[in-house]
Amino acid sequence: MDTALARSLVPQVLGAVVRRYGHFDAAEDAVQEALIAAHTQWPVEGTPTDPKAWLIRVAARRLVDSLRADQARKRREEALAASADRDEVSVPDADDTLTLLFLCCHPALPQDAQVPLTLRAVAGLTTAEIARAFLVPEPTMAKRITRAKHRIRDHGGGFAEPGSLAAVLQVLYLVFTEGHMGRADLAAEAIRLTEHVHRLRGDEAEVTGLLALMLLTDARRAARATAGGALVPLAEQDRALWDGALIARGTALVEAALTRGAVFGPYALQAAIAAVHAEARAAGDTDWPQILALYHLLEQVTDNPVVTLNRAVATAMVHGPTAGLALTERVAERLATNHRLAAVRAHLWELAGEPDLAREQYLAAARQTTSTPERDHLLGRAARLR
Amino acid sequence: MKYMLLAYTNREAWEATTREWTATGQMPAEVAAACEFFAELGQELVASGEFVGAEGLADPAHSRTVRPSAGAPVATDGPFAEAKEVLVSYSIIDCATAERAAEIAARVVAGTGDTVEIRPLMSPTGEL
Repeated sequence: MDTALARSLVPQVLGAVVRRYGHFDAAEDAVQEALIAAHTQWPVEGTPTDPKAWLIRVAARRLVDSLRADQARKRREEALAASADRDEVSVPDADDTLTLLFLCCHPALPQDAQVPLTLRAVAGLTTAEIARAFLVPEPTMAKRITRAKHRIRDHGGGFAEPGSLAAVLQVLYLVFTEGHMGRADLAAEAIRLTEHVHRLRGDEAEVTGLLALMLLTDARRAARATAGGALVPLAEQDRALWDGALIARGTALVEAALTRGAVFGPYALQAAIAAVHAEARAAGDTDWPQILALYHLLEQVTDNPVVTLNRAVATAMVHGPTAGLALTERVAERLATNHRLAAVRAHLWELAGEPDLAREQYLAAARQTTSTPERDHLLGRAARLR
Repeated sequence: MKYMLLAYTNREAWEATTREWTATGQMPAEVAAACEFFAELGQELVASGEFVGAEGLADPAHSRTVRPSAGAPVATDGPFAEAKEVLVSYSIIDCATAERAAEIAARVVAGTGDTVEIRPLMSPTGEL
């Protein structure tokens, strides 16, 4: 049996069953059972001509069986069972993956539940795989997922209200950054899911923008760290290692997003910045005035102080380090405990030819970060200035 | 974000409890209460999806210390606690905010009377 095929069908199968019957938590179990049934039956009986319809039918029957076991829901079950026998669940034309994404990223769920639930129900990862990615014990991750499913159930299935596309994009980006920060398979899952959403909702500029941002960021993967795992800053990356095909596709998507959007959204703007970096053959060729202009626009659509900090870097590259350092004052209070403030100030003092002040800020940033590779990088910078 | 909660307890009180246990043959009430508290908290943290690990430590009398030395590292018995406060248990939790970690630590303090130090864990990932 083609397990990749079956797994790729999971979100559509689950979406179809939940759309028809509700009961998200029980439906999810039923779909898992249908997959097991496929695994044992298909090699013997042959892969059905329409594997998706087969999985939906089997999952629906399992769901009905499980609901039958629940005496408290007896009357509703009978109605369900009758309708399942009468009209086998039709395979809807609309792609149910999107419906499922809206459900998993429902605003009623806390964010730390949305991400694992999306990975489980939409990306089809096992609980063990998700637990490994987040470095927690499997029972802990199982509980997080179960709690999320119960919340959906308590919320009445969630299908009464339209989901928020913005919430879906945020969850996909969170999955991507989890992967981007070291877990490559999660980044690949995030891109796969975003590609899928883009096929369905490519008319939305921010969907296009997010996909572009992911591809342009992923294009730099091979250059971002040394073989030993040490981080390499953008300016020092070997640009020959950047993935030209991903950059070309990402850049084309950025152009599409910026042409389509009436108002530039944060993902499209971040992607545009990544595209400007990507088009520079060497760090010294970077079009900093254009990046600065894009950060100005980005600052207007988000309240994130890190954006202002990034604008300070771009300002320094265009107007000199003193101007950049002055701008960091504006977010000094909000980012007082964030190592990025000290790291940016260190970099700008270094550009300003003040190695002692730079060193002090690198050491402060190294103390503030809780990331081992970042700490190592910052201490390395400080040591270089001795 | 993962945090380690290190609970320190008064050494003399720990020894007094052990003496009481030996003298009466009965688990002292405060030990029973602490066991019950940790069982409940553990269940609660598993249910909330925040539990990573937790253990209680044996009496410091079992401590051995390995120190660097010229040639090979050297292991010795002890330290036979001179410190007033000794490490008695640790837990690792994975929770959304530092405030939540402090809230759980406060529960341990209230439930055991121990002093709890909260230490964020270093993350193996990062980006510039």
